[in-house]
Amino acid sequence: MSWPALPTLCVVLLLVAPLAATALSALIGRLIATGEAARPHGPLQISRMQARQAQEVVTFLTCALSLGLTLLLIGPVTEEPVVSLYAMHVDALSVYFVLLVNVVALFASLYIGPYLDALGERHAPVADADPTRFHVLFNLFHLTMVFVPMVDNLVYLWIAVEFTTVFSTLLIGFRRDQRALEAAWKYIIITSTGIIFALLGTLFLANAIPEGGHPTMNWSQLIPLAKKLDQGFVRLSFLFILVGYGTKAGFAPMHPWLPDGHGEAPYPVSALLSGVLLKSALYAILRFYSITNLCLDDNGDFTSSLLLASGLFSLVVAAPFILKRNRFKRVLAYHSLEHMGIITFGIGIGTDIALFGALLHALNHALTKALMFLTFGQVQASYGTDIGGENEERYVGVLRSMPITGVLLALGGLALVGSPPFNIFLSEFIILGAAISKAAERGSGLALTYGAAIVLFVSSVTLIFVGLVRHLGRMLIDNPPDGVKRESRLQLVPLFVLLVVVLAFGLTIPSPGWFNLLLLVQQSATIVRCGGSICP
Amino acid sequence: MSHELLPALTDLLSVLILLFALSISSATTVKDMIDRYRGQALILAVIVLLTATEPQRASILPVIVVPLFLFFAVKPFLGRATVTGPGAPTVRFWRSLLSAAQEAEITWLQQGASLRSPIISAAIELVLTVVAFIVAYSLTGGQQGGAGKSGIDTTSLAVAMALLLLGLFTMTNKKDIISQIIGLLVVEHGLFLAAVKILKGPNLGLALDFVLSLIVYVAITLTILIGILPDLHRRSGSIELDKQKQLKG
Repeated sequence: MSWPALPTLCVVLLLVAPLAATALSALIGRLIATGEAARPHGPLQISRMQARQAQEVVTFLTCALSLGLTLLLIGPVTEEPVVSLYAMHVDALSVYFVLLVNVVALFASLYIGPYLDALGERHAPVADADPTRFHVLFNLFHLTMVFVPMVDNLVYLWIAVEFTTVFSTLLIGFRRDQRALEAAWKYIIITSTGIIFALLGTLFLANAIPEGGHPTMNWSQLIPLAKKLDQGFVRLSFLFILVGYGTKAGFAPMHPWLPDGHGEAPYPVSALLSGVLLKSALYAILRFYSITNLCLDDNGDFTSSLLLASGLFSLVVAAPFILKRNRFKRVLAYHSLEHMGIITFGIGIGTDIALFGALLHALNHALTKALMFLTFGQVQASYGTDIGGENEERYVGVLRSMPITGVLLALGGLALVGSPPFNIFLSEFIILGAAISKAAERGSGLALTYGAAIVLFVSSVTLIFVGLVRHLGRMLIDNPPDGVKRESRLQLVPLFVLLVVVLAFGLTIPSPGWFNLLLLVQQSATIVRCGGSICP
Repeated sequence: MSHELLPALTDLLSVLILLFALSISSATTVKDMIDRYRGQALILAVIVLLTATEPQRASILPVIVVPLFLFFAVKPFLGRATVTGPGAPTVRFWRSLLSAAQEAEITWLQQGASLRSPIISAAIELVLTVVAFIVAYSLTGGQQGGAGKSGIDTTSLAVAMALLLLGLFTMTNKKDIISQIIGLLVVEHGLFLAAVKILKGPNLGLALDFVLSLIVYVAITLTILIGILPDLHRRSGSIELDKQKQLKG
């Protein structure tokens, strides 16, 4: 196949694959035998167990295929930055975020089966834990998240982000008990309100386009037009975008849905919500960020001040909630607030190295958070506590009752709080270094401001370190209760792979010819900073 | 109709929408809130019609579908969400929509109280409205009838922003879920008015893009109403917000 055609085919397949998986999962669900014995009694009928297994295979293979296609895209995109197809624009930044989605989706898909098993054992009627419904929603959610980074038109981007909200809401409320439904309700109400601001922001940007010609909301066409946009409306647009998409990204103070949503969602979904969904909203902010900086031509001062403040505020707000005693999944959710704050802080600094660090942190956080949610899910399943229940006091002595899982949890936790030699330490260090450099090059007044920001950053991160270590200590040490099921070593293999990746990315950023992640992140940072593959 | 009169008329109707929003926020029953919301939707449809008659604004006309749909659909959908019951097969679902509003009226007459006293609520609403007008005037330089520094009608923009703020306030000031949804729908009206009055020029493609997004937004909001709210009501046994506080955030 010729070189120009391959990326286009990959992009098309990236959208078709999850859609096909959705249809196939639904079809498989239809084939389940019903009736007295519920045994298959025809060539086109299968048992519930067979259906479930088939659906799990379909979902896993789709996620694997999607990841493979994304890896194929990395090479051509870094050499030829654009793949344009109808309303789609796929550059290095797009591919980077699609990579994020597909890596986490692949690992999450491996734990759908174990989650449904545990749910079926503990919870009520099978009807409430319908595997077909889960797989259909999961694949649709996967589709919308893959679509978000590939769309060119900023109005369609909004629609795509809104669709991710729909499917994630239905997944959060999957258990259909009061807690899950309440979390889903809170999530949809808060994010729907926020997303209105994002649409208004998009509207203001549309109004900033000068009259005459053929105005379009395609990002690729707005970038060359940026200097001609009305600066007042561009500023207003960015402000509304930050509030709107910031709500979806979990920025404080719009974050109240975060701990409930992530806490009550099925744990494979929590991994996706925390690792990827927040980043899809961040992706939207980044696209507007590029346009705004090019339009205002103020060295990024306007966007920088907003993002720095937003990032620091999120970081500071997260700290006390992580320090206090809370259900572990909610603690992990507050860590998302922390890390989104760190990423936003990095973007706010605005230098090449800071943007590189921020984007790298997005990936590192996604991987580490997935590791934590999926590992903790094994603990929940083995401890026999009602998977939606409150009884956190039972989660003690994990190192004794489930030694391998305990070790994974301990190491994952250390990675999450930024301990060397793990990946998050590397990206946090890059961001901190960029902040110090920026403080050093500024005049005395701003240097003081940056200095204070750095002190606040380091203090918050330190407190958060202490907080998580306390939570983990409480969970890992002490004598476990009776009745804890043995851990399944087979189920731990993917988590080990994830841990190895988390460790490896702390030691180096891969850059062999076929998987040049380093170049991909650099290209992405360049696109964010100046809207194209080459900065002036 | 004279083109000089049109902007004045739409401004008047915009102010009327604002008055409806204030009355929705201060209503004491859900039934009143819904009726006033429907009135607001109708006025919005008229504004779209009038705006479409302005020079080079005909492309805005398809947008009228949104407020008209909300006018007809909001009562049955909210009715069904209010009446406790699990999801039903399609035939019964549509039949249940027809009778749901009637069945829900008893509940609607009992719900709709505010968390704050009427005087404090009114004061807050006034402050929010004033803030919206100040922001709008500072953005547009205070020009009317599309002659502002960016061609935007100040009154309409101010009303749109006021609807946003009042809708948000309603969501946080009421004690039940249905009122919260109505607050969200008022916020949508603000967005809708902004979209109608802000989009300038004859670009049909751009206008239709935003129309599509508004339709998607309304469709999704209503879908979630059908998908989540009845189950939540069934599990908790109530539409009061106090009964939905198992999670602490």
